[in-house]
Amino acid sequence: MTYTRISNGGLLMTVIPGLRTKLYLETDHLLLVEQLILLERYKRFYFRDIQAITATQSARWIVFGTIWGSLALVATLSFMVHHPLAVSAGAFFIALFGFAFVHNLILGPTCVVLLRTAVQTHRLAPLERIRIFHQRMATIEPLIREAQLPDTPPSNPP
Amino acid sequence: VECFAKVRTQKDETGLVRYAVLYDNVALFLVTAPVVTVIFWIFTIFTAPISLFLSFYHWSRQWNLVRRSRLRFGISILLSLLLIAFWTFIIYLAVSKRK
Repeated sequence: MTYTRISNGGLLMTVIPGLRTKLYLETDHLLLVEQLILLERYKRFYFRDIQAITATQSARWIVFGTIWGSLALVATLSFMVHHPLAVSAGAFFIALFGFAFVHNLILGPTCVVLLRTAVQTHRLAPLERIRIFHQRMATIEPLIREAQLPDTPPSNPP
Repeated sequence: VECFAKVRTQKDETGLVRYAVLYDNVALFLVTAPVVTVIFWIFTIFTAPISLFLSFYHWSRQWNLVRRSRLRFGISILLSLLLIAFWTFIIYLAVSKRK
Protein backbone atom coordinates (compact mmCIF):
# COMPACT_ATOMS: atom_id res chain seq x y z
CA MET A 1 0.00 0.00 0.00
CA THR A 2 1.26 3.47 -0.81
CA TYR A 3 0.09 6.05 1.64
CA THR A 4 0.16 9.75 0.85
CA ARG A 5 0.65 12.03 3.83
CA ILE A 6 -1.93 14.77 3.88
CA SER A 7 -1.18 16.32 7.26
CA ASN A 8 1.61 15.99 9.79
CA GLY A 9 -0.21 17.61 12.68
CA GLY A 10 1.76 20.84 12.96
CA LEU A 11 4.99 21.94 14.61
CA LEU A 12 4.05 21.35 18.26
CA MET A 13 2.85 17.83 17.49
CA THR A 14 6.07 17.09 15.65
CA VAL A 15 8.19 18.22 18.60
CA ILE A 16 6.25 16.50 21.40
CA PRO A 17 6.43 12.71 20.96
CA GLY A 18 3.24 11.83 22.85
CA LEU A 19 1.16 14.13 20.68
CA ARG A 20 2.46 13.06 17.28
CA THR A 21 -0.41 12.27 14.95
CA LYS A 22 -0.35 12.18 11.18
CA LEU A 23 -3.02 11.64 8.60
CA TYR A 24 -2.46 9.59 5.45
CA LEU A 25 -4.60 8.96 2.42
CA GLU A 26 -5.13 5.69 0.60
CA THR A 27 -7.47 4.89 -2.27
CA ASP A 28 -10.29 3.67 -0.04
CA HIS A 29 -9.51 4.94 3.46
CA LEU A 30 -7.89 7.50 5.71
CA LEU A 31 -5.10 6.31 8.00
CA LEU A 32 -4.56 8.09 11.30
CA VAL A 33 -1.12 7.37 12.76
CA GLU A 34 -0.77 8.09 16.46
CA GLN A 35 2.71 7.87 17.88
CA LEU A 36 3.00 7.08 21.57
CA ILE A 37 6.78 7.48 22.05
CA LEU A 38 7.83 3.85 21.45
CA LEU A 39 4.74 2.64 19.64
CA GLU A 40 2.90 3.68 16.50
CA ARG A 41 -0.84 3.00 16.44
CA TYR A 42 -2.86 2.87 13.23
CA LYS A 43 -6.52 3.72 12.82
CA ARG A 44 -8.29 3.31 9.52
CA PHE A 45 -11.42 5.13 8.46
CA TYR A 46 -12.89 3.66 5.31
CA PHE A 47 -14.60 6.17 3.04
CA ARG A 48 -17.69 3.98 2.78
CA ASP A 49 -18.11 4.09 6.61
CA ILE A 50 -17.68 7.83 7.19
CA GLN A 51 -20.99 9.47 8.08
CA ALA A 52 -19.77 12.98 8.86
CA ILE A 53 -16.65 15.10 9.35
CA THR A 54 -17.34 18.21 11.39
CA ALA A 55 -15.18 21.22 12.26
CA THR A 56 -16.02 23.51 15.16
CA GLN A 57 -14.06 26.71 15.70
CA SER A 58 -11.88 26.71 18.82
CA ALA A 59 -9.94 29.40 20.68
CA ARG A 60 -6.81 27.27 20.98
CA TRP A 61 -4.78 29.40 18.54
CA ILE A 62 -5.52 32.53 20.62
CA VAL A 63 -4.49 30.72 23.82
CA PHE A 64 -1.26 29.47 22.23
CA GLY A 65 -0.60 32.87 20.65
CA THR A 66 -0.98 34.52 24.07
CA ILE A 67 1.32 31.94 25.70
CA TRP A 68 4.08 32.24 23.06
CA GLY A 69 3.80 36.04 22.95
CA SER A 70 3.95 36.36 26.74
CA LEU A 71 6.95 34.03 26.97
CA ALA A 72 8.76 36.04 24.27
CA LEU A 73 8.03 39.24 26.23
CA VAL A 74 9.27 37.67 29.48
CA ALA A 75 12.45 36.61 27.66
CA THR A 76 13.10 40.26 26.66
CA LEU A 77 13.48 41.06 30.38
CA SER A 78 16.83 39.25 30.26
CA PHE A 79 18.24 42.24 28.33
CA MET A 80 17.87 44.27 31.53
CA VAL A 81 20.57 42.10 33.10
CA HIS A 82 23.87 43.37 31.74
CA HIS A 83 25.57 40.02 31.46
CA PRO A 84 26.58 38.39 28.17
CA LEU A 85 25.26 34.96 29.26
CA ALA A 86 21.84 36.34 30.24
CA VAL A 87 21.61 38.33 27.00
CA SER A 88 22.54 35.26 24.91
CA ALA A 89 19.99 33.06 26.71
CA GLY A 90 17.38 35.81 26.35
CA ALA A 91 18.05 36.16 22.63
CA PHE A 92 17.72 32.38 22.19
CA PHE A 93 14.37 32.24 23.98
CA ILE A 94 13.05 35.32 22.18
CA ALA A 95 13.89 33.66 18.87
CA LEU A 96 12.31 30.37 19.99
CA PHE A 97 9.06 31.78 21.36
CA GLY A 98 8.92 34.46 18.68
CA PHE A 99 9.14 31.79 16.00
CA ALA A 100 6.37 29.77 17.71
CA PHE A 101 4.22 32.93 17.94
CA VAL A 102 4.65 33.85 14.26
CA HIS A 103 4.23 30.23 13.16
CA ASN A 104 0.95 30.03 15.09
CA LEU A 105 -0.27 33.25 13.47
CA ILE A 106 0.63 32.08 9.98
CA LEU A 107 -1.23 28.78 10.41
CA GLY A 108 -4.32 30.71 11.48
CA PRO A 109 -7.48 29.85 13.41
CA THR A 110 -7.93 26.41 14.94
CA CYS A 111 -10.90 24.08 15.08
CA VAL A 112 -11.93 20.76 16.58
CA VAL A 113 -12.41 18.15 13.86
CA LEU A 114 -14.53 15.10 14.55
CA LEU A 115 -14.97 12.16 12.22
CA ARG A 116 -18.12 10.11 12.75
CA THR A 117 -18.83 6.58 11.67
CA ALA A 118 -21.66 4.23 12.70
CA VAL A 119 -19.63 2.89 15.64
CA GLN A 120 -17.41 5.75 16.80
CA THR A 121 -16.63 9.44 16.80
CA HIS A 122 -12.92 10.16 16.54
CA ARG A 123 -11.00 13.41 16.77
CA LEU A 124 -8.73 14.19 13.80
CA ALA A 125 -6.02 16.31 15.40
CA PRO A 126 -3.86 16.73 12.24
CA LEU A 127 -6.64 18.69 10.51
CA GLU A 128 -7.30 21.14 13.32
CA ARG A 129 -6.42 24.35 11.50
CA ILE A 130 -9.31 25.82 9.55
CA ARG A 131 -7.22 26.57 6.46
CA ILE A 132 -5.68 23.07 6.42
CA PHE A 133 -9.10 21.51 7.09
CA HIS A 134 -10.66 23.19 4.04
CA GLN A 135 -7.68 22.35 1.82
CA ARG A 136 -7.61 18.68 2.79
CA MET A 137 -11.38 18.30 2.72
CA ALA A 138 -11.32 19.41 -0.90
CA THR A 139 -9.28 16.24 -1.55
CA ILE A 140 -11.08 13.89 0.84
CA GLU A 141 -14.71 14.82 0.22
CA PRO A 142 -14.93 13.73 -3.45
CA LEU A 143 -13.38 10.38 -2.50
CA ILE A 144 -15.99 9.83 0.24
CA ARG A 145 -18.82 10.81 -2.09
CA GLU A 146 -17.53 8.47 -4.77
CA ALA A 147 -17.21 5.58 -2.31
CA GLN A 148 -20.75 6.12 -1.06
CA LEU A 149 -22.48 6.32 -4.45
CA PRO A 150 -25.47 4.00 -4.43
CA ASP A 151 -24.90 0.85 -6.47
CA THR A 152 -26.68 1.02 -9.78
CA PRO A 153 -29.04 -1.93 -10.12
CA PRO A 154 -28.20 -4.26 -13.01
CA SER A 155 -30.35 -3.56 -16.01
CA ASN A 156 -32.90 -6.31 -16.62
CA PRO A 157 -32.74 -7.89 -20.04
CA PRO A 158 -35.97 -7.50 -21.99
CA VAL B 1 -10.30 -14.59 17.73
CA GLU B 2 -6.84 -16.18 17.88
CA CYS B 3 -6.70 -16.43 14.10
CA PHE B 4 -7.71 -12.78 13.78
CA ALA B 5 -5.04 -11.71 16.28
CA LYS B 6 -2.42 -13.70 14.36
CA VAL B 7 -3.36 -12.13 11.03
CA ARG B 8 -3.05 -8.69 12.64
CA THR B 9 0.66 -9.27 13.23
CA GLN B 10 1.39 -10.35 9.66
CA LYS B 11 3.20 -7.69 7.71
CA ASP B 12 1.69 -8.69 4.37
CA GLU B 13 -1.83 -8.21 5.75
CA THR B 14 -1.41 -4.45 6.13
CA GLY B 15 -5.15 -3.84 6.27
CA LEU B 16 -5.32 -5.40 9.72
CA VAL B 17 -2.10 -4.20 11.33
CA ARG B 18 -2.95 -2.02 14.31
CA TYR B 19 0.44 -0.96 15.66
CA ALA B 20 4.19 -1.09 15.12
CA VAL B 21 7.00 -0.91 17.66
CA LEU B 22 9.39 1.93 16.94
CA TYR B 23 12.74 0.28 17.62
CA ASP B 24 14.61 3.39 16.46
CA ASN B 25 12.91 5.36 19.24
CA VAL B 26 13.64 2.56 21.73
CA ALA B 27 17.34 2.64 20.77
CA LEU B 28 17.44 6.42 21.00
CA PHE B 29 15.59 6.40 24.32
CA LEU B 30 18.12 3.95 25.81
CA VAL B 31 21.04 6.31 25.16
CA THR B 32 19.38 9.67 25.77
CA ALA B 33 17.05 9.09 28.74
CA PRO B 34 19.74 8.06 31.28
CA VAL B 35 21.94 11.01 30.24
CA VAL B 36 19.11 13.56 30.31
CA THR B 37 17.83 12.44 33.71
CA VAL B 38 21.43 12.85 35.00
CA ILE B 39 20.93 10.66 38.10
CA PHE B 40 20.59 7.53 35.96
CA TRP B 41 23.59 8.30 33.72
CA ILE B 42 25.53 5.37 35.21
CA PHE B 43 23.04 2.98 33.58
CA THR B 44 24.48 3.93 30.19
CA ILE B 45 27.13 1.26 30.83
CA PHE B 46 24.35 -1.26 30.12
CA THR B 47 22.00 0.71 27.90
CA ALA B 48 24.59 1.88 25.34
CA PRO B 49 25.55 -1.65 24.16
CA ILE B 50 21.86 -2.68 24.14
CA SER B 51 21.03 0.37 22.05
CA LEU B 52 23.87 -0.40 19.65
CA PHE B 53 22.64 -3.97 19.25
CA LEU B 54 19.03 -2.85 18.70
CA SER B 55 20.11 -0.28 16.12
CA PHE B 56 22.07 -2.76 14.03
CA TYR B 57 19.59 -5.61 14.47
CA HIS B 58 16.54 -3.57 13.52
CA TRP B 59 18.26 -1.38 10.88
CA SER B 60 16.78 -3.47 8.08
CA ARG B 61 14.05 -5.18 10.13
CA GLN B 62 12.22 -2.06 11.31
CA TRP B 63 8.76 -2.25 9.79
CA ASN B 64 6.12 0.46 9.67
CA LEU B 65 2.97 0.91 7.69
CA VAL B 66 4.18 4.33 6.56
CA ARG B 67 7.70 5.22 5.45
CA ARG B 68 10.14 6.18 8.20
CA SER B 69 13.69 7.49 8.00
CA ARG B 70 16.68 5.72 9.59
CA LEU B 71 18.04 8.96 11.04
CA ARG B 72 17.18 7.94 14.62
CA PHE B 73 19.07 4.67 14.20
CA GLY B 74 22.08 6.65 12.96
CA ILE B 75 21.98 9.02 15.93
CA SER B 76 21.56 6.08 18.35
CA ILE B 77 24.59 4.28 16.87
CA LEU B 78 26.69 7.43 17.11
CA LEU B 79 25.68 8.15 20.72
CA SER B 80 26.10 4.52 21.84
CA LEU B 81 29.58 4.37 20.30
CA LEU B 82 30.52 7.58 22.12
CA LEU B 83 29.19 6.22 25.42
CA ILE B 84 30.92 2.86 24.94
CA ALA B 85 34.18 4.69 24.18
CA PHE B 86 33.70 6.78 27.32
CA TRP B 87 33.12 3.71 29.52
CA THR B 88 36.05 1.85 27.96
CA PHE B 89 38.27 4.82 28.79
CA ILE B 90 36.96 4.98 32.39
CA ILE B 91 37.48 1.21 32.92
CA TYR B 92 40.95 1.42 31.37
CA LEU B 93 41.86 4.31 33.73
CA ALA B 94 40.52 2.41 36.76
CA VAL B 95 42.43 -0.76 35.88
CA SER B 96 45.70 1.04 35.08
CA LYS B 97 45.55 2.99 38.39
CA ARG B 98 45.03 -0.20 40.37
CA LYS B 99 48.16 -1.71 38.78
